[in-house]
Amino acid sequence: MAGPTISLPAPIFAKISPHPFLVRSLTRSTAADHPPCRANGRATQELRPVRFNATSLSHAHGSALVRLGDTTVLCGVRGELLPVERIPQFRPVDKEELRQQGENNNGNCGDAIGRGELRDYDLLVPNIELATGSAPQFLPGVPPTTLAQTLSTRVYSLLHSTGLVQAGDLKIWYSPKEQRRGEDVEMGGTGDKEDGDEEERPVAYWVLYIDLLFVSFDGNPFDVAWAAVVAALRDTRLPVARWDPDREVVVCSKTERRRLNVRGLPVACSAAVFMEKEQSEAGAGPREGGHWLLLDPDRLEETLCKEVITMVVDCSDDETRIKSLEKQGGTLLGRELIRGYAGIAERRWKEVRTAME
Amino acid sequence: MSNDRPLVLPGETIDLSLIPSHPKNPLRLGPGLRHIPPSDIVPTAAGELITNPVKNSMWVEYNSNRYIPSQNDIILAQILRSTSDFYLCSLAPHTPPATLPHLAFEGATKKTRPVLLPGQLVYARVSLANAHMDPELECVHASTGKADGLGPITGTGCIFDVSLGFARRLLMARPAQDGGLAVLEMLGGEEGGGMAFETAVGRNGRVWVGSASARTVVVVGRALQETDRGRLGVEGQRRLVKKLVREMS
Amino acid sequence: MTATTTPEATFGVLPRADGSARYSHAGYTVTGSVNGPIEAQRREEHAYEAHVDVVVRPAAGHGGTRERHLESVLQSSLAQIILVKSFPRSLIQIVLQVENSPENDYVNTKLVQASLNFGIMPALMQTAVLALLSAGVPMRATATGTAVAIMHQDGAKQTMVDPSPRDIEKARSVHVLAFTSQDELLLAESEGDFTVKEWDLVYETARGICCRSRPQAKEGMAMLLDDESTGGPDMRQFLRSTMESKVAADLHWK
Repeated sequence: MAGPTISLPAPIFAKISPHPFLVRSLTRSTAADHPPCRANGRATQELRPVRFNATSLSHAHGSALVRLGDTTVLCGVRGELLPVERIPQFRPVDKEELRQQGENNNGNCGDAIGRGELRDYDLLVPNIELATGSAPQFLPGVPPTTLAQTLSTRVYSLLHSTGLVQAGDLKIWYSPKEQRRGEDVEMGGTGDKEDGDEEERPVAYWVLYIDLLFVSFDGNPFDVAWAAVVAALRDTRLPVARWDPDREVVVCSKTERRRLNVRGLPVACSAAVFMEKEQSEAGAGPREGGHWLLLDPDRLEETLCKEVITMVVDCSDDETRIKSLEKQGGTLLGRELIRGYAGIAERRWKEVRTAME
Repeated sequence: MSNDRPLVLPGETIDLSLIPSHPKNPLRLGPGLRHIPPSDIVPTAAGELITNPVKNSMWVEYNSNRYIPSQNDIILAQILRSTSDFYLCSLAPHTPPATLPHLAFEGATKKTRPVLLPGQLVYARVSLANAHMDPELECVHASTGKADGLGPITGTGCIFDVSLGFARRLLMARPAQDGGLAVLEMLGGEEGGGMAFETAVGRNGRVWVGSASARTVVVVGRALQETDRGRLGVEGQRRLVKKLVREMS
Repeated sequence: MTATTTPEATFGVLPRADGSARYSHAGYTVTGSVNGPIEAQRREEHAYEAHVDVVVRPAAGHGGTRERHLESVLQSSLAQIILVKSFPRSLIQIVLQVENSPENDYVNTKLVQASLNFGIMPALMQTAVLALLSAGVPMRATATGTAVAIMHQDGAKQTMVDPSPRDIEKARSVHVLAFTSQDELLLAESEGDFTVKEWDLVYETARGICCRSRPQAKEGMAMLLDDESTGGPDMRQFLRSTMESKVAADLHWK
C-alpha cells in the first residue's frame, strides 16, 4: 500500500460514508462459520424480535407498547360517544338495502355498508406523532412531517380495508321493547303502551381515537405502528353503554366493560432493497453489482435504500390472505421476488402472533 | 418503421441498423442519447433520432423549453447584482445565477471595467458549463482578447422571449436560406418598408430588438413571436410582416 | 364511466411551464406541469442528484394527508425513471392538478377522505410521465400504469380494469401497478383481501395493458383484436402515438 493507512472506528466510518460501510459489512469474508451480516449484526433475512406490552396506559380504553429493536411505539385507543343527532349527514341503514347488499355480495353481508359507516362518520381516527428526540431528524415545533402524514394515511387506509373493527361493534342501539321489559321488572309492570310500535334504532356510535406516539425511532415505522394499532385494539374494552330514554342521553356503565371484537390478525412485514452500486441507475441494460433484500431495515439502512416493500398478511385462516402490498421506489422486486416475499411475511406473522399472545 | 427519422422514446432500444458505423471516425453521441457501457445506446428524450453517417454522429432532436447552458453558447443574460469580483446574471427563470467576472470584458482592467447595474442586459458567451457548478460567462474571446460583438447592450430596445428551437434558427449564419426564417430580412427590406433596427439573439430563447423608434421595436418583436408560435412558413411570414406594418402605420 | 373509454392526452396546455400535459382516462382528468431543472432550495439540494418534487392538488379543497402519501409514492417512482444524476443540486418540480374525478354515486360521499385513492394513481402517474416527456427531461425509461380490481360476482372471481369508485367500493381487492418501458415492475400497490394467486392474475392483466409487445401493437388490425381479448387499452401504444404527434409539431423550428 502506497499512502498512509487510516483506520477509523466503525461508527465514524458509518457516519462519513454509510454506503460503502454497509457494502463492506455485507460482503466481508470472515471465518467460514460466520456468514457476512449487516452493519447492525443481523443477517439479511433476520428480523428484530418484537415485544408487546398491553394495557400500559391506565386512562385509555386500550393501549399497547410495541418494541421492535430500537423502534418503540406507544398506542392508545380512546372511545368517545357520538350521538347520531350530532352526525350531520346521518342516514340510518335500511334493512331492505342491507338484505340486497347481502345478496349482491354473495354472503359478504353488510360488509360494504359497515365499511361505509366507519368512513362516513369518521369512526376511526388514527393520529401519528413522531416525538422530538426519537430520532435526530425530527425537529421540534415543525408541522407534521411527510413521514407522519404518509404513515397515518397508510394506517387509516389499512384500518378500513382490513375491516379490523366493524361498525356494528361501535354502534349503540336503543331497543324499546327490551328496555321496557327491564323497567317492567323494576317498576312492577306499570309500562305504558303508547310507543309500543317504536322500532329499534341506533342512538350513538363509539368513535375510536387511535393515537400513536413514536417514543424512539430506528427504522421500519409502519410495521411497528400497525402492530401497535392491532395490539391496542385487541386490548380495547369499551364501557357498556345504553340509551336512557327519559334523560335522552347515552349512559355508560361504570363497572361493566366489553371487549372490542377485532377481526383477524393482519401483520405487516417490510423490507428494503440495498444496491451494491450507489451510483447505479437501476434498470437499463445488464444490472451491475449485487443487491440485498434487507428485512426489517433500521434507520441507517432506510436512508440508503430506495426500493421498499411492505406486505400485510393474515394467516388466521388456513390460506394466507394478503391484505395490502406496497412496493415502490425501484424496479428490482419483480414478480418472482414478490411471490417469494409472501413466505417471509408468513414467517413474520407467526412470530408476531406468538409475541402478542 | 425504418424511415430515416424514427421516433424514439426514453429507454427504447435503438435498431442496430440505424447506428452509423464509420470505419475511422469514432461514433459521436449528441443530446438525448446516453451510452451505457459496454455497448448500449439508449435515448433519454422523446424525439426524432437523427443520424449522420458522414460525421459518424447521432442525436435525438427534441424540443425543450428549459435552457440548459452548454459551453460556447451565445446568450442574453440579465444582471441580477454585482459582487466584489463578478456579476451574477440570470439566463432563464428559476435557475442558479451565472457568474460573469468583472474582468471578462474587452480591455477591462480593475480601473476600466464596465459598471453594470441590476437589470442591464449583457450579450455573452458561456465559458464554463458544468452540471456541478454554476455556469460562467465571458464577454471577450479568451485567446484574442476581442469582444467580437459581445458586451453590455446599450441603446433603447426591448427583450422578447421565443422558443429555444426558434432562437437556434435565428442564430444560423443564413437563417433565410437554411432555416426558412426570412422575417427579419423582410422587415428590413421592402415588405417592412426598410425598418432600421438591430437584434441580438441569445441561445437561451431571448431576442433583444433595438431601434430608435418604439414602433419598430414592437413590430419586430411581435413579428418574431408570432412567427415562432404560429410556426409560419416563408409565405406566412411575408403576410404577417405586411399585416403588422399596415396595422402599425 | 365505463372502463372502455380510451385515454386522451394533450400537450403544452400551460405555455409558461417547461412542459405540461393534460390526460384524461376512465373519468379522471389531470393536468400536469413540469419545471426543471431549476434552482433547488438549500434544504432540498442534493450534491449528486436532482431533487424530484411532486405536488398533487385535489379537484376541490387543499391537499391533505392522502395527497402527501400519493406524492411520496409518485416521487419515489418518478425519481427512478428520471435521470436525476444528470442535474445535481437542482430541482425538478412536477405539479399535478386533478381537474375531474368520476362522481361516486354513493349517497354519503365525503369530499375529503383520508384513505387511499387507488383509482386516481394511474392517471397521476401517466400525466406526470407525459409532462416529463413534454419538458424533455432526460429519463431512462417511460412508465405506464393501470388499476385493476378483483370483483366477486355470482360466486365467480373476475378482474376489472380501471374500476370506477363505485366498483372500488364493492371490489374484494384493488391494485395499482406500473411498469417501465423495459417491462420492469416499478410500482405495486394493493389493498383489500387477496391471495398470491390472485395477485398473479392481476399482474398478468396489468402487464398485458402496460407492456404489450411492440410488433403486435404496430399493426392496427392486430391491435384492435388484441384490445378485445385483454379488455383494456394498450397504454404503451397510446404513449407512443401521442408522442408522435407532439414531436412532429415540436420540431418545426429544428
